[in-house]
Amino acid sequence: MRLIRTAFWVLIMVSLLAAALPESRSDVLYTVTAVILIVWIGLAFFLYRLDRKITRLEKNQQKMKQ
Amino acid sequence: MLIRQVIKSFYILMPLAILMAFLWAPSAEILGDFSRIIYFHVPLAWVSVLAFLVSGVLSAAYLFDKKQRYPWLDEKAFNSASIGMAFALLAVITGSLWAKLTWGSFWNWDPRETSIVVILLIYIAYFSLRSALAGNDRRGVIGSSYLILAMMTLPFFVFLAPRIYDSLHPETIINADRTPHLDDRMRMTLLISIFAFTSLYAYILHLMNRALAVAKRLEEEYHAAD
Repeated sequence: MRLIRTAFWVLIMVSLLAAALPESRSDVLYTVTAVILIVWIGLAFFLYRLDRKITRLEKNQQKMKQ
Repeated sequence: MLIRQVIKSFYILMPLAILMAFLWAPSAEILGDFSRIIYFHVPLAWVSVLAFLVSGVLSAAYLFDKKQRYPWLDEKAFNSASIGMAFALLAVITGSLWAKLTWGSFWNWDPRETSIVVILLIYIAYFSLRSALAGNDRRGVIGSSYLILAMMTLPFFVFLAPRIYDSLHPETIINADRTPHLDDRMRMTLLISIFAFTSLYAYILHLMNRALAVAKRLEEEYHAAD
């Protein structure tokens, strides 16, 4: 659910920015932006999964204590 | 809770910073599109200095916290120094690429480049020292003392040395006029990028510290079961 909410806000921001973009940008800049964004999305997904895994471990440890 | 939300803001700020850096901010007059590296190079350098400062402060807290009310502060300082090292290396790589594009060579022994080499050597020595002291009871105290000394050299290498000698680097943002000479959109993009990278650092440090706490608790349980 949180992932969907974050994705929603990212989409909103991207759309707002796309509307504010000047039109005279070279294709190379768009390509570079796309590549970096794809790399970033992969990295963000990895961090998100790592966060979830650590949260699960913490919860398991608390359960074991009880 | 609010702090957690703030440090997670990088999920939104980072793609925003990337889009602004490449598509919204204008290119610099002389440097052209190469100037867009500034939106990554400067935040990386800033975060590395911040991470080293945090590691120094955590080390000082570790030495003062005799009753160990805050556990594993020396390990948390190590985590921050590790992130600082990674970001400093990335700052060197991006800076080196930028130097090749604008000054014609990857490395020029400019005062700022020289000072970052010295800082990297200081922190590489810390990691060597810490790994050499594995299993030693005094590891935390010695490592923390070293990190405080390393932190005290930072203002000289980051702020003073590059200002004493002539540099290929442009005038710093905190300059003699006390005003940043940047276009409004460039300034806004740089600020967003700095916030994004700072929250990314805080998030990674938070993750590493949580993983550390889980590992330490497991270790304690294992020893308790023995």
